[in-house]
Amino acid sequence: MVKARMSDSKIWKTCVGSMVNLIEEAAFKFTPDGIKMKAMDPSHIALVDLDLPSGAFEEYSVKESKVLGINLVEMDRVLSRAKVGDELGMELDEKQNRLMINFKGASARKLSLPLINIDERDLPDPKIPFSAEIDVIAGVIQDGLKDAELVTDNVQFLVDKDSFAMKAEGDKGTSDLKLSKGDEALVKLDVNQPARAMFNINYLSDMMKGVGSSDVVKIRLGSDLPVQIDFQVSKGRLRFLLAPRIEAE
Amino acid sequence: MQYLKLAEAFERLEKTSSYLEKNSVLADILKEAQSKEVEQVVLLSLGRPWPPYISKETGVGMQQIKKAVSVASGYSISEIEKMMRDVGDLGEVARKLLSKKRQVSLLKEQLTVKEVFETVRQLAEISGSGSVDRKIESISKLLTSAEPVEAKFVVRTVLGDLRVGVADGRLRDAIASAFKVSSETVEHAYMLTTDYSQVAKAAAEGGEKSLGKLGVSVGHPVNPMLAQRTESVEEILKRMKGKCAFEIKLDGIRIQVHKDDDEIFLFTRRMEDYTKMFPDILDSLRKSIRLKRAIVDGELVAIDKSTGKPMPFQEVLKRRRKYEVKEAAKQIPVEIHLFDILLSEDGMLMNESYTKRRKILEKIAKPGERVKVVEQKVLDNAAEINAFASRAIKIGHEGLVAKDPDSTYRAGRREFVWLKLKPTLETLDLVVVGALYGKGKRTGSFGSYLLAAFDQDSEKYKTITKCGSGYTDEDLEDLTKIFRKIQVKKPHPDVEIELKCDAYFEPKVVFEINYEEIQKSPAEKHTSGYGLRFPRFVRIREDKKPEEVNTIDEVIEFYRKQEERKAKSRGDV
Repeated sequence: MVKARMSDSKIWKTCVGSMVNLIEEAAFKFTPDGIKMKAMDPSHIALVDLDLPSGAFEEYSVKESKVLGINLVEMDRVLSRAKVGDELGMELDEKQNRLMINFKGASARKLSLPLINIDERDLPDPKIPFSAEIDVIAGVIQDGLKDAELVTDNVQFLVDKDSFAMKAEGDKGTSDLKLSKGDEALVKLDVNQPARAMFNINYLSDMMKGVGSSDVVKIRLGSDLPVQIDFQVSKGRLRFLLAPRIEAE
Repeated sequence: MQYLKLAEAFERLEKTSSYLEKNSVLADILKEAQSKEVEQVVLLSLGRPWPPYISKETGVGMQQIKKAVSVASGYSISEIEKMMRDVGDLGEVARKLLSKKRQVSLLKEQLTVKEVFETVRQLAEISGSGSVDRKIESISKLLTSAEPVEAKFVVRTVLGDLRVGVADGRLRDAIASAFKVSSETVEHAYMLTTDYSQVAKAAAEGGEKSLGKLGVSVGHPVNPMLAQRTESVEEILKRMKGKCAFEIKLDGIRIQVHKDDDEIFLFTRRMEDYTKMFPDILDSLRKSIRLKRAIVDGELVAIDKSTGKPMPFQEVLKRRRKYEVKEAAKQIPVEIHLFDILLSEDGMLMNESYTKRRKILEKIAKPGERVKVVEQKVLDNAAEINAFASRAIKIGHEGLVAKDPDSTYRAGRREFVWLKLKPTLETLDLVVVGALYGKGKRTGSFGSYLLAAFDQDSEKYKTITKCGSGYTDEDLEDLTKIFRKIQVKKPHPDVEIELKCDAYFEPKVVFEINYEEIQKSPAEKHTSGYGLRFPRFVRIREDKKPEEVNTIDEVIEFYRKQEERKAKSRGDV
């Protein structure tokens, strides 16, 4: 039996919403301890890693681990039908090979999604020697990305012991965002070594899409290394890893 | 097998022009492939993940590939386009950019032949909303894992422009040497299946024995048997030992009809699938062929709506279109005239005699509104044959085909058991101005020559046709030696050429060329404004000087007469 219920559908909706632009299909592993999912986008540039413990749910019963293949685009569409404050239930219908999704609010509504076959792949858990930890209010990053998008496709993250910056430079102009130690939006700045790395804005924007602008994101950075971005979702976390771009020759 | 191996083989194939080296590179890669990979290796080497008779394409254009290259390499579209202008080949651009990638990936996997093959094949099946993005995504995925040289050939394969010089003949010889079977067996198996991937697979699995088991099947076009030309009724009667069957020869498109229950496929002589272009005869064929499964051979002709008479070849060609098919079907109705049967429910009939096949055809084909059985007579005297021929021409057909009553159906062969009899035409004497290298066995010598007539007005030679048939292998060797001596680097100043040749010559040597018809030709192709249909080398006119070749004015006169003749036979005048 696979059954889970959370009092606010928004949590799950946020998770799916942040992943759907990167990966179309995902294999969710429902374990007795919670839901896990790890997938890479087709170009192997971004990795999504979700860990949602059973404690994030009001009701959670999974006797033995099961992998459910889900088309995220379809699931996102179903979730868009949830009303603010609706309770969300998910239940596996093994006979029909479907996932039942229940919304409970003003009325009780049921939608179902067919499960799909997905090859389960073991993805590497790369050990990346990050040299800086930055916790920032998401809205700031979202703004920085919107600025950068105006001028080019790529944005640079720069960090030193006193500040964090996002810079972009293109034919159409430049953009520059800076947070200094002590700024309210810069929750944490812990820098072993100054670092800089450049990333594709489209990917970053997709990752930042689902998150609320007042939420805190945890960024781990190293020079020319992938960036790791963690969001807290309820009692779990949603992690993205994005490969850098090497700066011009 | 790693795709890298195949891509490296492609790179070598592209670089070498030596026939022997090409052959050994191809044979090595075939030997190295496991038997289940052989099919994929063969099709990828030919440049498409489908056998030739499947008319599918990836439907991916330049713009989409540029985007995929951009995602995988980290370079912007404008940077790619800039490089494209310098390099000229998107495959080469992808190779260059991926060797100095800007976008790092988290995980790199080795591409396999299977993955590339399946991904490219799958591109054709992606449709509906968002299909453009999904196609780009699939290609980016391959390119992200690709080594630079792999990227080059993935891009070219997706674009349907592999350009590594693997033609059918080369593949035949490579399969033969890789699996130690004879070229003839390979060729025969190909004639029956029209699919080198099946042939190579059989050769890999069980050599000659497995090749011998390959047969024809419904849905897979068979290379059609062709007719030789003859000069006269006397020659026919001599070759046919005094008596044979004569069929009216129609001037249309040769079509092989495959019937599988209610499904009908139409294939051309070059094994292209034309089913979608002629929806108006499918129903008729379904009704007329009284067998569940069959392969029959016929000629598709256009019909003049007002007279009901056949129209010339050019008219039926107007039906070769992908769009507005229905409209065209109304404008130019067609009929199919059947004359042979290759396969029935009881099995293959190609090894049966002509007489027996014709009997079966008459029994199973019920003539209908759009389906006819070609008129046929068994004759043994010249007067009757001539009368039959004139009648055929009078009602608007081309002439007759004589068929040896005992002959089997020899797929892909042109032998003296089927003979064309058409009104004799003048030959033209033309000067040789350029040549193209031959393919297959003929690599290394010139395989076809570009010929020109003399224009008295400008006092220049203007091209009128390429001619690649009528030579024996010996001819080609001898001619190559002759022409090497008069080869020039650029087209000779006395010659006006638009077509690109592998070699250009001083206008010195005169060929006698026969042909079936003079046609108008766009000046950007042939500078004379005229072209020849089915040109054939007769001999070198050593007795003629280049100044004595036919003039453009004479060609125009021949053309005028020919059109008059045709109009007369159609009853226009």
